[in-house]
Amino acid sequence: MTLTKRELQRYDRQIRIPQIGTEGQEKLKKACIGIAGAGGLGSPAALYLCAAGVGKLVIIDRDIVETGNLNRQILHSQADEGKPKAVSAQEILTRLNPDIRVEVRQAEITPDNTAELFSGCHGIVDALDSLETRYVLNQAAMDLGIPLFHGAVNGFEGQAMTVIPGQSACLCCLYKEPERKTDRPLIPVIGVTPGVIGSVQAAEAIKFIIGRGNLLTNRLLRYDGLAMTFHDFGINPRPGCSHCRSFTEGGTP
Amino acid sequence: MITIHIPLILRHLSDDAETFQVEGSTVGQCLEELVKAFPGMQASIFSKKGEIHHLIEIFLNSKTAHPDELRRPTVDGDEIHVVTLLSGG
Ligand SMILES: [Zn+2]
Repeated sequence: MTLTKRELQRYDRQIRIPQIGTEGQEKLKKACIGIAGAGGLGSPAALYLCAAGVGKLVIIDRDIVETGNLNRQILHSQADEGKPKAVSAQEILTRLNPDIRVEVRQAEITPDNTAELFSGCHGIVDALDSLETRYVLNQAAMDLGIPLFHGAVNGFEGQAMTVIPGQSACLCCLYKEPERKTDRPLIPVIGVTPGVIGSVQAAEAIKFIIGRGNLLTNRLLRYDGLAMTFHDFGINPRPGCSHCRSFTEGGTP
Repeated sequence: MITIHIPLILRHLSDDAETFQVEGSTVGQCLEELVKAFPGMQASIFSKKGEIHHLIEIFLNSKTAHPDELRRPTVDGDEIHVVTLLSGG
């Protein structure tokens, strides 16, 4: 898939990165990434993947823009209040980069619709705000055999991990059991935290597409915005994990 | 001495201290010393059964200590990170 003159101009500064080059840029153009959630994490992830020229983005969010979202969800503006987040996300992303395709769906992610929502995607960014739906997304990534770029935040703290089905620990290996419906208080957050973590998730997706660098597989990256430290921890695939069982038991997923 | 790194979410219980030094020959003993010093952490780190809470991950020298975290032996100079797994977006 060759790049147009405008694309060569637009992406000039990143094509100059030896690990990207025109070859990497063409890979980005051919790629399709799903973004589950257009909130705090989904906003920076979508903006940077859009700006970087990922050929197609599929963005799923069921919610409506509220004023209380705007301290962190930079895809949306005050004037978008009352609009579906999917709609305002598509508007701003299309304005940022009309050379890519942005598909949006105002939908809840459930075990029944993931195959259809993410069909054709080469990877999914986990930009959700609940552990329960993260489990659904994790299972979907396993079933579709595509990577999941996980991120999560709380206050000044954030974390990221990349899941390659059949090769590395999954979210269920990490969290071990789903969140109970009762323990879901409103999570405090300042926009810079998902700004950092969503950007890490976008970087992981880009690295996966161009096939360069080391992904956050079997590694949990933790960011502490108050101490201002990053630390990565070793995570193992968990034997008996119900999502990647066959892989951890030595078979193929 | 063994250094325990306290997660940001629990630091209001440790007067904002990021680390705490303890003596102990297992992860379990070290964490016992931590909650002795900061009793408010007991309910966040441990389940009612006295196991590690399901949303807490313990890392010993930056590697997961799961499973059997509490029985892992510790030696002088070891670092324990108590990490609360996050779920916000
Ligand atoms: Zn697993």
